[in-house]
Amino acid sequence: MSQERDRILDLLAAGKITSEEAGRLLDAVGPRPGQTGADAAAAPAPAATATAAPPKFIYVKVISIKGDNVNVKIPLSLVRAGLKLTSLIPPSAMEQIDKTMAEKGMSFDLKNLKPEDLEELIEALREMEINVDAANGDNVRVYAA
Amino acid sequence: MKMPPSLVAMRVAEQGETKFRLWLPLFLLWPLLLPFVLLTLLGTAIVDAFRFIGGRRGAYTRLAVGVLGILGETRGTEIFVQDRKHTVAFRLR
Repeated sequence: MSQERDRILDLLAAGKITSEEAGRLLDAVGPRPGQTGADAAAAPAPAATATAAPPKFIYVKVISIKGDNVNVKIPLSLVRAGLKLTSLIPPSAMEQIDKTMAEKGMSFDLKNLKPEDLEELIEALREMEINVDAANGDNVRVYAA
Repeated sequence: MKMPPSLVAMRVAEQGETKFRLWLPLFLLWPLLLPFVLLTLLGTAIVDAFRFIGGRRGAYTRLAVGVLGILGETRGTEIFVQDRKHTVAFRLR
């Protein structure tokens, strides 16, 4: 983690990235041990989000050693609003969706997805973290906070 | 339902140099679009009323309200993509 921070700071010093981009990348690699402040609060690491409030955003952060970086922040309320629209899908189309999903091994009935289930699912996302460290140094993190 | 995003900011940079920057104050656009949105909702309500009289379930108004709801929930979305030469940043506030 320290090497990644040093590399980002080197890129900033060399003028290859702007201070704004450096800030984003530093956020992506996570706060320093013991770091506090607005930046850490804005995009807290999953381990530091043990609060009662449900997560508000899902983050997808990709840091490539080659310099390809992706940082996506999506509001989870968008999922809630989107799933409300599933009630407008015609029953015949819904049956087809369920059938196709079952064929693909996902026995999941969208009709049975209730708002309270969705809240429970979003609440559980706080505990979720996907962290992939590739052998070549690439890093992918997906988490909700 | 949340208010729709009030600002959209987009930046495209090449090798650290900004090539394109867009800062669009959507809060100025929404009042202009409000009459159109209200007319659309009125239209969907009329269509749904006719469908209801015809014995069918009306869903167009719910669809229009749902789409507006999704638009409101996009507030806070941020996308940042960078490769060696290019940077694209998009933010909805």
